[in-house]
Amino acid sequence: MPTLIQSTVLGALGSTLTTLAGLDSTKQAVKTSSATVYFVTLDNSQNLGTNAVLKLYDAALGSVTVGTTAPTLVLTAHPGEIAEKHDDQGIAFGTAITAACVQEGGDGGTTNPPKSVTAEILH
Amino acid sequence: MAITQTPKLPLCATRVTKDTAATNSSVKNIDLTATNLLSVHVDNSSYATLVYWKAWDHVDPVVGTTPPDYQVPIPANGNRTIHLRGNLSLGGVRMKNGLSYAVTTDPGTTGNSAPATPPTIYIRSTAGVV
Repeated sequence: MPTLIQSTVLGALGSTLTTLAGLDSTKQAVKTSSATVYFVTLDNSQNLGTNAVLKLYDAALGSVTVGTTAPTLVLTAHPGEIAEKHDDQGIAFGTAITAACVQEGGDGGTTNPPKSVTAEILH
Repeated sequence: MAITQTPKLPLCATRVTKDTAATNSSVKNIDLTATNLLSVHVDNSSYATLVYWKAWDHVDPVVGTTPPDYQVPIPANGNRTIHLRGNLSLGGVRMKNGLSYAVTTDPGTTGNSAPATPPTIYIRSTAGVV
């Protein structure tokens, strides 16, 4: 009989997976307190002609102005693709996590993706 | 059944770029062509200030003006290895125009302040196959 080893898996890679279906330039509160982000995906597979750019802000929902506030994390998904970013140690968000998705990179831009995009954030 | 098989291309990087003093002057088009960016390791362990690694799918971005396509904060006195995926057949994310990057202490498009102690960066990429 084989030896069965079962180890406790530490919750080091987050405890909550937040799925934001239909994310656009309307900001969304992912978490209202500090958190560490380990894994982010952005599904832009429905938009074959435009980029989708996920922006995560280390700020409370009310403090973010999409198109003006500088994001903390930026992830671009090319047309028709699903972009992923992950790292084992995670990225600390000291205040909160607020998310939005537009077509432009950097701070600016409020153009919604033409078709629905979905973001998943493991924190 | 109708299957399509594309030539097997390396999922591991064909190139590692090491920059021992990454700063707010963008390093432009490091692979001199379109490329896939697979991962970046930023060692900010010698600097007690959070920095932002920024990357552009652009051959000639202006730090402080050109909106970054990718941005990741790296903690003070810390380091991070960031893995990126998007190109399912090749791994990494496509940089169709070219991969350029910089490191600043402030986020976003306008952030252009140089770190007092520039971090060391390793970038894994596969050039020319996007």
